[in-house]
Amino acid sequence: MSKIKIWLEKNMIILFLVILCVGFGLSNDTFRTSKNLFNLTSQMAINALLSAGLTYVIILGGIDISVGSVAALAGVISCIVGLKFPNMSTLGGIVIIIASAVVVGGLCGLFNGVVITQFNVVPMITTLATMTMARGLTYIVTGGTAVFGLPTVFSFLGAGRLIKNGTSPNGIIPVVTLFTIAVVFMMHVLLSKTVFGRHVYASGSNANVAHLSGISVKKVTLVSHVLCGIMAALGGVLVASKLQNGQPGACDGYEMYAIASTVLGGTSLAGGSGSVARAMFGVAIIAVINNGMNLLHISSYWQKVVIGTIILLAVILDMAQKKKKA
Amino acid sequence: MKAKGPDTMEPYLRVKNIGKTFPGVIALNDVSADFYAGEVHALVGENGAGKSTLIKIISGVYTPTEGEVLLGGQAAGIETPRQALDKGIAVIHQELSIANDLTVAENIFLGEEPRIKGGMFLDRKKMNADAQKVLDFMKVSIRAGDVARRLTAAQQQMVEIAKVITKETKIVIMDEPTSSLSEHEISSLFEQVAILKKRGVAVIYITHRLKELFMICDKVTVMRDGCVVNTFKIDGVTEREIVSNMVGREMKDYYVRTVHTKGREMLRVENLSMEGVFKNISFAAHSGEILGIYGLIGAGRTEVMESIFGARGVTSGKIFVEGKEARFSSPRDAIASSIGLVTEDRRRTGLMLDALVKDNMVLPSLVQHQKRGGFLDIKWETETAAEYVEKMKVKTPSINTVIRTLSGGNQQKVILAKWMIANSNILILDEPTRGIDVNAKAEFYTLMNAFVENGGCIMAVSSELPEIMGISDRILVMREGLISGELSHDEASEQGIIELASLHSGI
Amino acid sequence: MKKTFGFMMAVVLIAALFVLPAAAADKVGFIVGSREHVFYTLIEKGINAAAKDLGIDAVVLDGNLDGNVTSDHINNLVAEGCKAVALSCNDPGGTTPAMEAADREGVPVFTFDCTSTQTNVVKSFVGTDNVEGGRLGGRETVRLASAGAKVGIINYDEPQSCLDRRAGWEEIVKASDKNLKIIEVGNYVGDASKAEQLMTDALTQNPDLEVVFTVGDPAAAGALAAIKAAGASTKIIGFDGNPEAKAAMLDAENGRFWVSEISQNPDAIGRQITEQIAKYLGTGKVDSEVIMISPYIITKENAAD
Repeated sequence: MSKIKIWLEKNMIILFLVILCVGFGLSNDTFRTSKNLFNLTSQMAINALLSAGLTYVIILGGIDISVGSVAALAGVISCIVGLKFPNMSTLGGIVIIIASAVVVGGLCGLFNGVVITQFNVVPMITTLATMTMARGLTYIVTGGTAVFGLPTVFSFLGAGRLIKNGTSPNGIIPVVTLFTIAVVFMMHVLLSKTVFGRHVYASGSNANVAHLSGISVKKVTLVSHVLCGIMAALGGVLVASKLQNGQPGACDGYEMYAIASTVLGGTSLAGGSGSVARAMFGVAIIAVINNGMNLLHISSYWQKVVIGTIILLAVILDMAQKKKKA
Repeated sequence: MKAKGPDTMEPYLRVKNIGKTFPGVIALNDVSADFYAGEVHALVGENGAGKSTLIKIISGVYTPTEGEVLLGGQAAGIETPRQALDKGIAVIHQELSIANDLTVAENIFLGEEPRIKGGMFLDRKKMNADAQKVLDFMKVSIRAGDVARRLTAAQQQMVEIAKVITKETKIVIMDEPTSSLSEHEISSLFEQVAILKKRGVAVIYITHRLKELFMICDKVTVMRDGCVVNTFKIDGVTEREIVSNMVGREMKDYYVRTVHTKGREMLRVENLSMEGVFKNISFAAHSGEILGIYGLIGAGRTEVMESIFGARGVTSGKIFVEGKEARFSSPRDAIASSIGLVTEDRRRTGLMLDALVKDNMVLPSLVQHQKRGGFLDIKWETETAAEYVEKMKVKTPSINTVIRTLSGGNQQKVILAKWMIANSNILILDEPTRGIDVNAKAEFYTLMNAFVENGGCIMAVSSELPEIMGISDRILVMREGLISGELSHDEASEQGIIELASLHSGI
Repeated sequence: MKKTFGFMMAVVLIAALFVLPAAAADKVGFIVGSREHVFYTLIEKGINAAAKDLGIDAVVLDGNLDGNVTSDHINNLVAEGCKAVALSCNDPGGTTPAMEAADREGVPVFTFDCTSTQTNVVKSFVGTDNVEGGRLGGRETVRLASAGAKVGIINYDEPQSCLDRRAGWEEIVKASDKNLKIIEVGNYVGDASKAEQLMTDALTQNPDLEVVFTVGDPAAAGALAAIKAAGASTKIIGFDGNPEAKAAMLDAENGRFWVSEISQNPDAIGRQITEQIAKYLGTGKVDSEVIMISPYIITKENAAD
């Protein structure tokens, strides 16, 4: 009995997700269709990538609020690059998209990391500046208009589906879902199974101790911000690929959803603890709420109120559990 | 209940048959003690003996499960810390509660600031004048207008005491007040305690340093496992008796020291200097040797050690490890040369408090034991952590326990294990037994001895004279950034060390 | 070193602000709703083109669709000595006091795209007839849908212009004798990706959705992605007339879905408002207090024009 209780206390978030799914499933016929569930996974993809990257910097005790803007910048740049290759193949399209993400996201992350580690500017302010600059750059490179005219293959990664059959001529499993699962899995393994990952936890848990144990906290911070930037950018290029065009206003405010998902997944804003896998439960909860409420035709205003409330509850719950432990 | 009368020998504070249980633990069991005005009454006992629980009950943090607290013969009725404060009970904590950015005067009058004509405006002039009056009365050289951050730990403690004096406090509980003070600062603290005593304050004094009892206390109550073992008048008891009461057995000498054989030179520093901190530090340390380093706070001991470890820069000088010159630009380089550092502040720089015992132990060794592709070797981690928990007798439910929940002594063992796992053969220990109890100290010394007997080299910094004399094969004394002398174990006397550490003699 | 570097950067940036060229022509301030929307950047183009022709020094600012920001801009433009101020009044409640204050200081106020009905200081308003645009969208919807079909709308519930479009669309669709069933796809809040999600969810529930009308082109782009992914055959009617809309309609594949577009004429709005201001500054009169630039329908046939 007490074992179940302990498990539940630790995994309240999973229980909550299950309750939400059952609730929406009972109140709406469409929700539980396999088609909708696959849609759900593709709707989770962007936020999943952003949250996976954010988990690293939040465990370090930092934050990155530039992810939404970096995503938009990478998105439009991938489209601008893509326009230069009108005869790209499917594989070529994927390469262009991923390469743009790695370069743009990597540079933005590197910028954040360098400013934070070399100039000792707090992450909140650094990434606030990057957020504004990246958004500005997005409008500069696009002139404020959408970047369009990309070949259809460009949208394979973001909108393509695999396994076609009679009832689903366009395919069942979203490519973006598989891609995201693969990337998030790698991010999870890197954090939980490698020495680098352990160094991230150590640096976030107590930077003094980490430094005195021979860990280069600066390097760990730098790499984590680069990873976070790349993840954000991957999210952004997937949006561009899905829409087959680059919207300069894309991903506005997505940082808030990503931070919320990460925190919902139990990553402490104080640093030192958290997990990519658990952040995915946070991502799922937010996606399920959005999707379920869309299907029930609940107004988007109320959706915001509901999500805000849930974030607050999650944090209060987290605090309560910490207090109990101490 | 005893008859109340005009008897002046009536205890001011009396705890009677106090019991306190937490879920699954009996923290206090039938504890009774009397505290008199104008008396310094020590509470001693190992960690977990119940001292902290008792003072938390007296100061209103906990309510007892059984028994009662009497104040001036009447039920005290203290249920919150605020009520305790209102009834004149003040606690000076181990971790000081000073607001760093406020001035000394603002700290002294925090929450009770004088106001102009009782209105809403702060009467800063009066506040500063009153504060200065108290500080002058205490004969300490602190100015009321100074910002608290600039003060030393000892001076901050004086501010705490000034607070107590201004508030006309009746009972002062001092929780390990000397743990971060140097010998010199301790004696000035004791002067203040004497002043409090003269003013008729009942002082409850908690300490791990038994020597201090004989310097300022009138009575001592020994606690063990949540019970009061004995209460002694200080002139009728010896240190050894107190110790045996604390541990429940006779202890001949708790500074365990075995004879080591000094081996080859492991580390040599030549003319190490850091502008304004230390200068021309030269010495060598050998395998099979515990080199003690003594000095008052501010003498530069910690800074020298941190520089050797690569955690601090130096302006000039050379470091040789096993005869070869080494340049350490970060702790990582020092660790690669098999040096380990146990810092003086476990909580801040020694441990990841919310991480597991296992994770703390293997942290510096992860890279060395990684599998291909940078993956963690979980099997190695688990086995090694279990092995060292066993070997070093760390009392922990498992290697997967959060280290915060362990006692200080066990935490310290984990830190030592961490460097042993990292194959360090030169260990720098900065105040290795600060804040840990007698039994744990003895165990820790045994571990240190085993380490040097196996060919290791230890440099131990300590502010505790008996400790440095008890454990060291050789003692370096530092004063104001310089090495002021070197003594062998047999040469060392308390007198001699203190003279080297504090007197200006011909250097 | 770092400090010096930071300080130098700041000095260079501030110095750059001072040496920006100052012109001598009549200065007129314009505040566009948001440079983040193509529509406003096209208006800005029209303004700049007309200003060049008319010899006006046009200062164009971005109001961020925020009444507070816009009010500050109005005050700054007045203080800067602009001879007139024109703004897209996206938040009438928030900007009206600043507009009236400008008027009291003798700076005439003009509006374009959106105006304020709460004050009478506006000398002239040039805008799209959004209700009429919505009606055009409604007619296209009725034309494209079969009798009894499901038709959807992706709306944006914050800007007045989008509410007007929706009202015009509903008026026509509800009055039609084809007995159409309206599906609320949802509020896309200006985010194309959000529109894609909403449309995906709507198609999961209503795979037989025949036509969707969107109140803005980003929503149409999102809907297009969703429709293609779902393998549906829903037709899209966009709104705005952005370049990507025309490109989509001309594209062999995308043109199968995105078949109609209600186009505004942002360039004409920008030119017209600038001309009215020039006229007012010259003669003290405008052509009319309200000048409506009619939207028009674009289909594959006239998209290339």
